[in-house]
Order: sequence, then C-alpha cells, then structure tokens
Amino acid sequence: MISRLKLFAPLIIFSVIAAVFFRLENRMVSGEYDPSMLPSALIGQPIPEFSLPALSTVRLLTNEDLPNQAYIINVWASWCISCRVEHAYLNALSQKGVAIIGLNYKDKPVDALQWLERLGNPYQFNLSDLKGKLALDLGVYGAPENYIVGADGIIRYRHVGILDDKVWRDKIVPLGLSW
Amino acid sequence: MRIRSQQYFLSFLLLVCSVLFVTTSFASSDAKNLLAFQSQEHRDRYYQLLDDIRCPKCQNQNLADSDAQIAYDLRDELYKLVQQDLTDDEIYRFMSGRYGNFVLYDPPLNAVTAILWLLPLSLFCLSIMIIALRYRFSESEEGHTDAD
Repeated sequence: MISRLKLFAPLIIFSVIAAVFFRLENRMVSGEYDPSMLPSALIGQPIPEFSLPALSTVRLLTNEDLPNQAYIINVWASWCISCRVEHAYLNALSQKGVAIIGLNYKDKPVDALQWLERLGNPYQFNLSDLKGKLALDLGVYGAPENYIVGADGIIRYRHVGILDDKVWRDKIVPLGLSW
Repeated sequence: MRIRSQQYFLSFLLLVCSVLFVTTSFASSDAKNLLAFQSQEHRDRYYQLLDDIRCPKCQNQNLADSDAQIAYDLRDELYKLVQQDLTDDEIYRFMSGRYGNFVLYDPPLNAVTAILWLLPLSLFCLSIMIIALRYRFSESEEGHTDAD
C-alpha cells in the first residue's frame, strides 16, 4: 500500500510547487506583488535633515518648512515618463486638499518649471534636488516614488512607481491619516 | 604558395589580437586609476565594497557592474565614505539604513531572515531522521524474516 502511494509522490510534489508558482504569478499579474519593489528602510522614521533650494526661488528650504499635517513627498523629474502619467492624478489629489510636496530629482529647474506651467502645479512647494542628496538619504532608486508622511513627520509608507486611485484606496487610505 | 599565405594570415591575426589585448588592458587600468585615493589600501577597500554592495535598481548586479543612474550616485557616495575613513561596518550601515538589507549580500540574522539559516538546517535534520528511521525499519524487518 505504502509503495503504491510512493508512486504518486513526484506528482504530489509537482502539484505543490506548481500551486506555489501559480499563486505567485497571479499576484504579480494583479500588481499585488512586484519583486522589483523594495520595502523602504525609512518606514517609522522622520524625514532626513535637508537644506535645499526651492524650485521657483533661491530660498533655502529645511525640515522646518514641511507641513504640520499629513502629506505626500512626490519624487519626480521632467525626464521621467511615468511621472507624466502620474501627474494628472496628483493634480486631482491636490484639488481634494491633499498636501503634496515635490522633490524635483536631478532635473533642470528650467525644464521642471516649464512642466509645471504646462501640466499644472499640484505641489505646495518643490525642493530642487539637483544632485539627489535628499533622495539618496530617503533611499530613492528611481522616479516616481511617493513617501506618505504623518502629521508627526514620521514616514508611514513608501510607494515606488505611479501613484493612482488603486494605490490610494488599497495602500494609503488604510494608513488612517487625516488628509 | 597556398600554405605561405595562410601562415601570413595567421601571424597577422595573432598580431591584431595581441595589439587589441594590450590596448584593452591599458584602457581598463586607466579607468581604475581615474579616482585618486589617499592610499592603496583605500583603493582596495573601495573596489572590494563595490563588489559587496548590491544595486537597488538592477537587482542582480552589484554596484561595480550596474549601469543604473542610482549605481553611479552610490559609487560616488561610496568613494566619499571610503575617503572619509569610515569602517566597512559603518558603510554597510549607511547603505542599509537607506536602501534596506536588500543591498547587502551578507544579510544580518533577524526574524525575517532566520528562515535562510533554519530551513537548510531543519531539512538536514529531517533527512537524517528519515534515513535513521528507514535504517531501523529495514533492520527490524530483516530480524523478522530471520526469525521465520
């Protein structure tokens, strides 16, 4: 009897492995799991200290200038194609009253200002990070990236890639921040 | 005559190959000497660390291999850190503090990574147990047939 069962062992092992990979594949197709997305090392930590010029003026901005309410730090650049796709949704969010701070990442300020003029400006203000200094301290490895920060200045969530309605509903609303 | 020309061709080919080899080896040594270091020790540490830190963007490449923009930035940053005489541990902490343990090829043992050590160990123990059980089983069966 046992030796009969043994015959089926390869089939059973195959089925288990196939089920595991099938589930993984499904989660990747639905966008629930993306192996190229890294968890942020800064969740639960404050925004690193910075002193960067504003995009539109020469004034230096520091951590003091960040909002006292919950806000999003959106890492973007005019050379970033996905940022263009994302931009309309950011405009809609800011119309709803969500505070968004821009981190203009390794961009030419002239190009960035032109972009805002043409596509609309959803940002309370923009930090011009020409060398990617703050971006490196935040652990940014591409654009767009979005850091969700609570009113206490603590980073709650990081979304790598385009922020859209699905991400907002599934990932950001459950954080329970008051926007 | 035919053999002559073949010989010429072969020696020409050899010449071309050796010239290419010499020029490329010069080129690579040039690239390595572009950065100025305080000492040979600093230089060696820099190149060792480039191999030991993973690029966050091109996930199966280290910082030395990757052509991603972030890899360029991290190489610059690593150069500064080495020149500032930070220890290897401090540099690993700097990188993992920003990009997570993902960038370390030798991750620390914690609740999330424990499976990397425990799974092989438990599989090994399991296989030893199975072998031991089978051995005893077959032995007792033999004993049984002997008694018959």
